Amino acid sequence: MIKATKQKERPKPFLFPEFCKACGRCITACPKNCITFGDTINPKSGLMPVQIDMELCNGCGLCLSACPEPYGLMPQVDNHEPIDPKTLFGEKNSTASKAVRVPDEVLPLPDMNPLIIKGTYASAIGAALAGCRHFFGYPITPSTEGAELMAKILPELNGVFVQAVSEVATVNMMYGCGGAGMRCMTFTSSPGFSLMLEGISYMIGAEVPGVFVNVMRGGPGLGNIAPEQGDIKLACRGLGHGNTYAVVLAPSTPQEMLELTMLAFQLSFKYRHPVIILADGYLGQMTGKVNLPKEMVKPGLPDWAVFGDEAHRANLICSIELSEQDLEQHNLHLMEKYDRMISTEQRADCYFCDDAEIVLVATNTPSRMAKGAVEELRRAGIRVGLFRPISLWPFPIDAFEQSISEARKIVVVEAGNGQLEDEIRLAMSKAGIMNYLPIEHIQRYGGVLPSKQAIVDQILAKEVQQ
Amino acid sequence: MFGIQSQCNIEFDEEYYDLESYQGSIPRWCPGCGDNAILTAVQKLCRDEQLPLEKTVFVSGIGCSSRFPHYMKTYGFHGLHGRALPVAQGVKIRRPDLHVFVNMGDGDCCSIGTAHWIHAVRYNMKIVAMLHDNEIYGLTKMQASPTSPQGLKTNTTPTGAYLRPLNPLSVTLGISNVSFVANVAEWIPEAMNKVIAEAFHHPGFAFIRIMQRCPHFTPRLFDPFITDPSKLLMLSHENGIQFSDGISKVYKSQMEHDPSDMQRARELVEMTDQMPIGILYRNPEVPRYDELRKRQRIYSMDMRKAALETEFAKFAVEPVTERNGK
Repeated sequence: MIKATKQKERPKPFLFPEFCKACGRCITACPKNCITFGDTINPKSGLMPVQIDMELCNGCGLCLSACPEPYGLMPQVDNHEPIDPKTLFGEKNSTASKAVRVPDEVLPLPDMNPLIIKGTYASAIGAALAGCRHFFGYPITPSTEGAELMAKILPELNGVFVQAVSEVATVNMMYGCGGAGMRCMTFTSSPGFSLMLEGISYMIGAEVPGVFVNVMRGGPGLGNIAPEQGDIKLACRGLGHGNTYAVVLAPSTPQEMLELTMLAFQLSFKYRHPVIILADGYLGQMTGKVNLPKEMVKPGLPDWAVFGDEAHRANLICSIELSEQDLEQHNLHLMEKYDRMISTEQRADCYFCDDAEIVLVATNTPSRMAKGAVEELRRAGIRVGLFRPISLWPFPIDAFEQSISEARKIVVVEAGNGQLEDEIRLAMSKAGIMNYLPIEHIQRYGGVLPSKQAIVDQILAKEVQQ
Repeated sequence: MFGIQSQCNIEFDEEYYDLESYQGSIPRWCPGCGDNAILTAVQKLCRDEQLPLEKTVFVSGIGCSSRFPHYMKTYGFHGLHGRALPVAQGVKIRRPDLHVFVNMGDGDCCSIGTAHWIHAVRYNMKIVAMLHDNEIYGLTKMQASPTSPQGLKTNTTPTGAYLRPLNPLSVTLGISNVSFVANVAEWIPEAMNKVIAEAFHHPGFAFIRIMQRCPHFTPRLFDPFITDPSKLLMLSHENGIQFSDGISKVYKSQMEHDPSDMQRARELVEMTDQMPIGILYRNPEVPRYDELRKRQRIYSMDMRKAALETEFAKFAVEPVTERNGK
């Protein structure tokens, strides 16, 4: 009787034949020689599983511990359900040292004479000074010159320039390169940016940094190669599918193209998030004076990167979260990141806004016309100011609220169909500014910009009426 | 199904189309651009075949070559970069009675549109596809294209293109279901005219690679072939095209090549010292997607209704009545 109970406690091995790889470890382990190599091919796996002679087996269990296959030899129980290997073996351990974050180094630059360069060149130089050594791009007017400059300088700096086969390839190359913890960027223009949106959504999901310079051109469709501000809604509200936002910076001079590109890299790595720079066709092609910064950045290496050394071995870049709870947690984490961006990354430039009765809002090249208009209208005795958002997302609502404190009217000047205006309205509504000021707009489309004279004339005409 | 009828009952007077009939707006290509020669060749084909303007469609992608539909008075479709072939397939699948032509550049076809190109060849619908191959991005002002020769200095490859170029002919010949592949040069109009005419009469997907000079960015690129005509190997055959005596005098290296010989065609396009001109491969028997998917039986309206109803019945929920309600 006692023997019989002992037998019961030691269950005999059981094998799903389709999971056996016939490695033979159990054969070596078995003291009773009751396991032999099989001689028939399993139709499911195409391999020859081992055969166990149950008559000889005494249930010692040595073969069970020898079998490396998670679904291989297991104790004979009533119902065999595949088990998660993690519960069998625990977390995978690595003997490698943990990855350490190597911080960026800031190196001083000698004083240099200002350069006279076009906007895309300024942005490319800014990227190089910010430590970007990887460029991926596809030719598209009016942004190609930036890529061309990168093609010249990056090989000299021991960097990488790749002309990809399409914008889709470009963004995925950036996904890979950014995932390796490297600083990478691209220049593109509106139709190309449309193609990149899918990849940007993945980069946001997987928290991969990268800088996209979108030199906006006329749309929709192929449109033309003249400046328009038709991608504000894409960059601020439509970065691919899912709950996506990213910091959107809008320069208005070649100098700002350089400065904001440097800032974009800093923000991109600070938040582990892509950053979009929205320029326009004129700004990309416009030649202007650019002062070089006082310092440049020698990039470090983040600890999360899939860098390809032993220390970074356990890292994984992915944007898939199959369980609903996990994905919700991931989204909450992203929301928290967005909140931090909203509270710290608002940037704006106010020009004569303190006592302005009429506040013009404009960005990119139209803001230059608006600035001229402000000066002329001030000379005519009308108190006009210019509010120029530098970060379009997050919209600098705090500064805006301050600059419209004296105002009785807002005039949005833009080269587009009210996408900037929508951002303002949305930001005001979210900030709880209930007593709306009247919002007027001066818009041109298809690559035509509102001229300074048109702005002056429209405002004067309305003022005279009153 | 959607109420579109391809047979129009209005009768038109018989009209004779001359070259001018097909001329749309005035071409704005650079002087000396090879696209002008291709335009003329296509217009000649249209005149010779007397293609009705309203039965002809030109589809293009983005690039210098893709200005093509603007310069034809037929229907035109200036599509997306790299997506000319899917647009053309969309037109052809619904309107098989239209003559569909595709004009695309080397960036269009061999870079961003490669996937579409490969599958368009596989689908083998009756379309004439012309690849204007100038081996450079012209419209965006001189960047390397996948067909740019190794070592070519461009704005994005200042030290010279790194890779060996992609050979559109060997790629096309390697795709399963390929049915017509030809190679011509824009500076030999006779060969181009004849090949385009053969392509037009081919029942499936006809792929013509046209070597095209870009006078602005790569003016000297094809000079080896122009200064030394013996580098071009003219392919003639009784089942292919025959060249006139004038051509034979200039282009002395000629060869008999049976267009049904795929193996030989693959060898010819891999030659390094000579470039074959003419029809490389033609097989009118290759199955066509638009033919295969056609219904073999004619369905009456009642049969369609019955089929729909059986399909919907699978998802029907029995209404709660007094008899079965609980």
